[in-house]
Amino acid sequence: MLIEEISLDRFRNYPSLHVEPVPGVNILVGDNAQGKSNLLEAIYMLATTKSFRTVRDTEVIQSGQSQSRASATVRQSDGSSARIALTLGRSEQKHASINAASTERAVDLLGVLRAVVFAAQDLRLITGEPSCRRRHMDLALAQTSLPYLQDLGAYKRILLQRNKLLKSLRERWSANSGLDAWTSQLVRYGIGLLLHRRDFVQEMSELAGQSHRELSDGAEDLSVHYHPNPSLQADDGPELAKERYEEALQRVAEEELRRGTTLAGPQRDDLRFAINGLEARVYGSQGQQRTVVLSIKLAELDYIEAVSGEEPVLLLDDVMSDLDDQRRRRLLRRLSGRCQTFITCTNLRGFPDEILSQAGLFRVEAGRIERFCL
Amino acid sequence: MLHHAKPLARLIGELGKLPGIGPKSAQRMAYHILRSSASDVQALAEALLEVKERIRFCAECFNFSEEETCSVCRDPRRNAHVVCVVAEPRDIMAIERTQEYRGLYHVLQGLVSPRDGIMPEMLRVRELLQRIATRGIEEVIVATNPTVEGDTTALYLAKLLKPVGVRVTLLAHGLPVGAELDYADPATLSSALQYRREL
Ligand SMILES: Nc1ncnc2c1ncn2[C@@H]1O[C@H](COP(=O)(O)OP(=O)(O)OP(=O)(O)O)[C@@H](O)[C@H]1O
Ligand SMILES: [Mg+2]
Ligand SMILES: [Zn+2]
Repeated sequence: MLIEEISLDRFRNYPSLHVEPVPGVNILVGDNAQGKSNLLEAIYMLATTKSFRTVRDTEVIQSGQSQSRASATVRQSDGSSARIALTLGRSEQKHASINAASTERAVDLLGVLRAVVFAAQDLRLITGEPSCRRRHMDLALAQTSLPYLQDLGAYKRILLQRNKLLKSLRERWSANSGLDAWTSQLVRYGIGLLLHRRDFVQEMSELAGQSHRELSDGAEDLSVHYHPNPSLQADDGPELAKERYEEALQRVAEEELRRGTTLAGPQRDDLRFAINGLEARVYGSQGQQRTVVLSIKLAELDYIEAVSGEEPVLLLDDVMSDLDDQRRRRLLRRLSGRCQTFITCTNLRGFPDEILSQAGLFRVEAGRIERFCL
Repeated sequence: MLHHAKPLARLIGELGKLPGIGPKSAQRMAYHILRSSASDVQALAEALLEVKERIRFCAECFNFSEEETCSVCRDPRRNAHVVCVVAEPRDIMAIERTQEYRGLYHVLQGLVSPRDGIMPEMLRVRELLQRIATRGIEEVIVATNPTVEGDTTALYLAKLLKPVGVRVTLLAHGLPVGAELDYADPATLSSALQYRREL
């Protein structure tokens, strides 16, 4: 898929903006704090309705303004095109429209535009809390699977309700509290998440391994491991997964009542990354960790393409800084001729001539963007 | 800062407690009432008091009713062996619009939601069990909204009613996930009733 045109209105430091990117590589160059990452953020929000930089989406509304709007024309590989728009207000409400028809919920936007982002804070995928890794799985899967998105929404709500219930039961016990019904619901939606995530990571591990071998020129072997809660076997189907989840909840039942919170389930899942068998979080160098994240993001790109039959848009925020010349060159080689890509940087050094001669070059300065030629 | 005269502020305060009415709308409504004729305001005030005085809950099904029991429960042509369980009286209106259903109702007056402090014992569940035990009810159709809370309530009831020995069915999934019965069009709702599934 391709973004043919994107417009912003009162979004971060852009009072208003209209850009027409090229189908291949788009390079956004500018000094610090000019708005390069802000543009990538807008594209990502049109794809997922969420920011990749903040969990408080209202931060994107320009200071002093009450609402913010991003819109784009997206062309699919079959030639059809759609105009999508997302409007955000101060009280967190979001409105989406597709071809001028407003959608019931903002998440209906998902799947029209798909994007994979690589940004500085993505290093948290390795060094951060398990929740960073779960969020990463959720964002990739939500873009490719509507059932996953629905299961995720339901699961989060059930979890919240069940936790509230456990908390109130800790204060005042009641035999007729409906806890069993909430537990059945938790299991019903939880196994959907577990099985989706397991299959996703299985494919990701394969794809990320390939990317990582290329980027490290065969020197490094990357593997990704899913640590589900409850633990699953590689070939467990829904029936077995249900049994395992029920057993796990059974085991912690008393403890849950003591602590007043749910103690088993995919809200406690994690991922591990290993380079040549050594855990990347503990033993990886800065550059290695960056390469791992990059490999995972490239794998996500391959995955989304394989599942949806459409190449997502790739957003690379400041990706060049921590990579050595070799890895940088290999990355660009791997990308050339593939999907529409947006790369931000502070200068054009380090880009090979064959990339620069074909790329769309844009100068970003204080909330304005202008195309230029060398 | 300018303040509203006391009676006006009071009216705005009361109107602002209504669902979906923010401070601005409350103010607009209050100004409108001030400008209206004394007889219109009188009629409005009487209607408010009357609804509170005359409308109560049906002693059988907990629908709104003017009498001890509601018009559905009193109607001898209805099939008294089937009871359709709904969350709110407005859901009865939605199902009646389909003209498909000829049984009785039971209004739970809510759905389980620990987040809002609503536990099963706060719903009209005991009364439902009582009705089943004493009124010869053979089938219970659980018609709660297909939301997380609606489904969980249905699941809770199904487990509770299983040992009782009545047939328990759920509305078929003709309804879109997250839909409100209240907003479902009659055709969708009537096919959901027709194709309800056994638990
Ligand atoms: N809600 C907002 N309203 C107005 N301006 C904002 C808002 N949020 C961020 N900004 C401004 O946007 C600028 C940052 O833009 P951005 O993060 O895109 O920079 P950048 O070009 O990517 O810089 P760097 O090279 O440092 O990453 C800052 O000047 C910041 O003050
Ligand atoms: Mg930046
Ligand atoms: Zn009645």
